[in-house]
Amino acid sequence: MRVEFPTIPEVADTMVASAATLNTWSSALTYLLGESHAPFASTFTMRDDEEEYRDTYQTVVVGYAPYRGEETIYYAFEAYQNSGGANNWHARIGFYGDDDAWHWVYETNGTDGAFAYKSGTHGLTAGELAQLTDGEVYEWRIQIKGDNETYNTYLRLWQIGLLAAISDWPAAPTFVEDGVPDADDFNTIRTSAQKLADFLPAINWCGGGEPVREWNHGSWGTVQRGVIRYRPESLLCVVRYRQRHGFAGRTVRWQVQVRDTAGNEADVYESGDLATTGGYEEQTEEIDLTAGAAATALAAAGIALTVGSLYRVTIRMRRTTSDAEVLDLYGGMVIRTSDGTPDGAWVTPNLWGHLATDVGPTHLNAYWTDLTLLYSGAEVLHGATPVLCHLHTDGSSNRSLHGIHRKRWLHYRCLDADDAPRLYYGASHGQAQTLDAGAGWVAYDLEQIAALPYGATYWLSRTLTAFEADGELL
Amino acid sequence: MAQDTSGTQLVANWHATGRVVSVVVEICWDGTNWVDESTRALAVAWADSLLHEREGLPLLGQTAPAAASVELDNHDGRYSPDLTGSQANTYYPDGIWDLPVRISAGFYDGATPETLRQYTGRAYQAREYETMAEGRPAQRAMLSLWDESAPLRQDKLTTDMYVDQRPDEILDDLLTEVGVASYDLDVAMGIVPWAWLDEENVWEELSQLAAADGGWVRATKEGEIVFERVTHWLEGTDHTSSQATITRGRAWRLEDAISHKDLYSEVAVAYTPRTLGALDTIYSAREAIEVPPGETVERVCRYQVPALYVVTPVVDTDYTALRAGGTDARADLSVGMTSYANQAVIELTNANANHSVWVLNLKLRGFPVDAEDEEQVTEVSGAGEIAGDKTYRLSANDYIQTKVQADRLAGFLRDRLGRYRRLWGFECVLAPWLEVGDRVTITNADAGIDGDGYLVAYECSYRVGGMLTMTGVVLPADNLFGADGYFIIGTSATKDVGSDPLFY
Repeated sequence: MRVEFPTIPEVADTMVASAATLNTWSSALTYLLGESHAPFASTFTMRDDEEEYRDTYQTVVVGYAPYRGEETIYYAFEAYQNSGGANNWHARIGFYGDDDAWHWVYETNGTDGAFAYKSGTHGLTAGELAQLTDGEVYEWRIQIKGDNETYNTYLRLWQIGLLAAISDWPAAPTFVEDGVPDADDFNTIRTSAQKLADFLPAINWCGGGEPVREWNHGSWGTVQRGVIRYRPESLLCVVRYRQRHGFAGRTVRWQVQVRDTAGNEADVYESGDLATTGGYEEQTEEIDLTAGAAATALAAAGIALTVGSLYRVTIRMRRTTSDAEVLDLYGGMVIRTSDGTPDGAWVTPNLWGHLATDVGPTHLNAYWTDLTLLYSGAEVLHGATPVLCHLHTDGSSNRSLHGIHRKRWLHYRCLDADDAPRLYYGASHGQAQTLDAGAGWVAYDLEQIAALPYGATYWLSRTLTAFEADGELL
Repeated sequence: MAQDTSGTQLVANWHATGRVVSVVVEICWDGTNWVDESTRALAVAWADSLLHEREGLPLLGQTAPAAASVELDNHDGRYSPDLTGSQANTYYPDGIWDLPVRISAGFYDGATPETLRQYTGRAYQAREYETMAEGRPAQRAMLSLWDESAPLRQDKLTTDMYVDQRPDEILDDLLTEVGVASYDLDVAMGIVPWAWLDEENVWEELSQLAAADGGWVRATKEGEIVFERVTHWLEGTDHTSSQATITRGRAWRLEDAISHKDLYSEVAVAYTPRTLGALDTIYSAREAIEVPPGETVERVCRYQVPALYVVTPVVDTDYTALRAGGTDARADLSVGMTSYANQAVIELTNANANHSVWVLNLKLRGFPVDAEDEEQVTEVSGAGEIAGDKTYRLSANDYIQTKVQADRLAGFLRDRLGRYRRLWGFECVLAPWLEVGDRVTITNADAGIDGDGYLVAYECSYRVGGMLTMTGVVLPADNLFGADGYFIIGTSATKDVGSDPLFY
């Protein structure tokens, strides 16, 4: 059982109009509004900058993404080479196709001497598309190199992914007082809603994790970095840690930073001093980026949050006492959330009943108002499915992914085919469920975990990458 | 849909005080050419009905095939299959079965006969008999006919799973699958999430699919299969404006009856949601399967539940293969599969020329389409025409799977069944253009009747030298639906206040 986009019947000229049919439009619109406000985990980006010094391409980042017919990739990363502009850095993005060969679909370079943000989209060629099959999961890689081995080339991933497109978005249907719309006008609502539903990512990805870090310093240590695609208004952040031999007087702090693509960075949250217990501990904070101290900090940093844009979120932590006991940083969650308040222009779709005699422009045009908001307005939906990345060199099991449960089936790759992953959920994520081990992609029905309600967060250990989907099949 | 009378004087002659009738009976002996047998036709009768014989109005449209009979002069044995050299013997030497027959009727306009098709069907029985005519023995043949739905009542089909399709889309596919060339399908109002046939009777499933949308399928006079959606009578001119006025001047019998048995205080429509389950075993063979040397064995595997995406059996996972004596025979066996929604045909081929291969523990895995617990929508009539509770429960339709479907069905069934329904009867000269479902006007000042209704049943007959008569049953249109007129797409004007009303 799952929440499904409604099946909307087609109507025909000379057909009597049915309240039930029109109500499927309303249901479709509220479904899409829910998707617009859906929470998403941040995607992986490196905690530390990655560098290569060779003049042949070296893989920095590996990732996976299910394919469902997209013809475009998008990319966002920062790169530079420390040659002071004398030489080039090079980067390329590719996937491993059905023909068991790598296809480097996009390649770029520059002479930047300091981190420079590079982003854009790139169309896949017919030959590349021929090596991608709808419903299959593909491995992607990002490689970098320099012109020579003398200088280092640096990369910071923001996000790469597959970008769906909406083609042939129709013109607004004509509903006017005393007008006589035909079936095409009515069916435009259906078609447009369906296009938006098809545009949505088919998966709910798990956020990337970093290996456990021992932090022996009183300065800030990065626990987790992730990238979110912004929609108003909040971030749900969780940090998991252990102050060895902790006690009330041995305190810690944590903070959350938001950085835009121009390099502006704001501290949107900082905790007070937190007493420790010596055991595993978690702190959770939902930060409204549009109000209070967070909004003030963003404004002061020159960051104007824009719907649909990427932002990098960093969770950091430090000891506030100088004692040398080690602070173990187990991981952080960064999840984009919304309180569900629609944009001011949103019109709640009408619910129709038998014998309703208000089939007029006010209610009918409201559908198009909402569809437009979802297509290109303040409720805009994004058809971006990120490649779920991790560092090429990272084979450590001592790391956890994180997720917010929205879809029934969890698809994952185990770090070790014989080592069963564990999912930690419940209050302070104190309950554990052992999942199935296996080689390749494994699907697990999360409805088997009765105490994991939809909307709850979880940690996922011993997995390389994971995402949720509505079906056992992709 | 009333037949087109343009270019004829049929309506005028029907109104006239007298008329000369014309009846044409044709038989297609060779499958291609229609032969006029009218001169041998001594009597014809045909009937059609939308009224369910036992259930009445709740199951309007779900009826037996339209029937007809033709009595033929068989003095020369033309219709005797056993008579060497006869027409029947030439084309149907083993007995007349499935013989195409059509009947047309109308009136002469001067010297020109003007007829419209009254019946298209097939003879399923030809009874020969001897009778007395004018004091002398006379040979007769009586053809009993079914309409063009009859062949579909014999057909059985097995299909893939239909997912999220309108009933008319499924009907389109099924009718094409069974080779029906001529059909006309309304666009259905709803969507059936899951549908499949598993060696099931095609016509029954067509009817159930149509009924899940509140409509019906039937064969027209012309032999065309049509699907008429729930709102069909609210839309076409044939149903919104009267196609004939039956007055005392044109009828020699008018009657009025109230159908009490079709009155209910509430309607309950059951629906059973279905969901796609997790990959699971959906079939397990109960015995070892022997595949002889060099042979292919075919097994029909019926699933425990209908399924989507069935996996072709994988060696070691879904079966093992060995020879007698326990030698591994996996390399000798190849497995092919054709899967449907509720069964798969497995082909096991043994490439070994000497040894039989035994296939053990064969199973199929797929994604079951599970039926959930039954839900129900109940609509209570506010008409107050019946004391106490009397519930009509619609529960036997597997294609009603969503609340949207059940809501709509319960709504309009409540309107149909919540009031006493009169059934007007009449008998008159055949109005040859009328079909079941056409709107007609009945006026009988003595009985105080003056209203429109839908022709829901008729019987017509003619005997040489006699009258061409039609008896009909009319269901009054008043209050049959929640409103007399609804918002029609492409016709009604949009208004914020005071638009035509919406249907359920």
